[in-house]
Amino acid sequence: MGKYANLDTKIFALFGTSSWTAEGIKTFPANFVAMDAGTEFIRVSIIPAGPGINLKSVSGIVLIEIFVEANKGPKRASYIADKLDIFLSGKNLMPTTKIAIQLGSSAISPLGNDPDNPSLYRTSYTIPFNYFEVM
Amino acid sequence: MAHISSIGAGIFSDLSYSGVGAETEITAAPTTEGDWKLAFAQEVANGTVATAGAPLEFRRIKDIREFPQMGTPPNIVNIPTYGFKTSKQVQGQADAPSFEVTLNFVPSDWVNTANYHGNLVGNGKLYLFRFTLLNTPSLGATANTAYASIAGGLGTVPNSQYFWMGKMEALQINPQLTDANTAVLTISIQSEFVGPYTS
Repeated sequence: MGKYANLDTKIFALFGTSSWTAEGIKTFPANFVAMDAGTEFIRVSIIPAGPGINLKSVSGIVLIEIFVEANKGPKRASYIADKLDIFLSGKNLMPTTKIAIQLGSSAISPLGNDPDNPSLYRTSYTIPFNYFEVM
Repeated sequence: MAHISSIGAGIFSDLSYSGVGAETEITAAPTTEGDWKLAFAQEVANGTVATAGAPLEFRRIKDIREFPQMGTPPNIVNIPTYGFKTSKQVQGQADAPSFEVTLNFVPSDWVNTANYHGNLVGNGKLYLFRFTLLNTPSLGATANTAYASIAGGLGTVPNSQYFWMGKMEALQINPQLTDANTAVLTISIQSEFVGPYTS
């Protein structure tokens, strides 16, 4: 697999673990139309758009949009962000030897009500990553 | 486990020292890999009384902000050689490196009270030090051996360990007005660096 496929495989796999699914937070990847997503879910996008230290490496961010019920305050979104930190922040994912995906320190930003569905409140959770591969 | 096999940032790297529970002061560095590792087989928390006698217990210095270069400097000397366009080089005996560690300063960790790091600064005694290059935190399940040089401690993740003997000579505080307070811990080098080893 190439670096982009490796990134998709390892990062999305985190959301397939039993410990994450036990949290009960619906999780969708980018470019996936969720039917009946409900009033609380997250959408995960991987954006490998930064520089890499060699031809096989790349950096970028994992962008996770957190959707919660509108008019309920920010606490639930912060709670979900803290849960995401447990699974993502500082983690070193190693698809094979010679390859490492290191995730850094996260940040959240409130974005207001979702323009497509004003009954949902949207918060962006971003965490930078570095994908390293030995040449 | 094994040495780290991928490129990466050593954001979980660890600095520890051993000899805190020794009945008599350490006077000589261990001579074998096994002996060095044995000195780092059991962690004791900062502020907690260490057990006297073997095995030696170690304490971790946490909240490190910046590490210095690790290892013996080269001290390359140029030797002019008649008839050659370039001189030759030999490696001379190097000066011991200045080993200064920058910390995010937590004063309660460095009080000048028995069993705390601060009590060792400037006491003139020798300790065994270990630097561990870690790209991922230890997965060791037991608190006092998670960072020990054993298979069930550091050996749970890829790691590379370097050892030396030294003294904690000075701690200089650097108050900050707009950032976290920092401190510089100076450790003198009293032996050669050995390693890298792995657990």
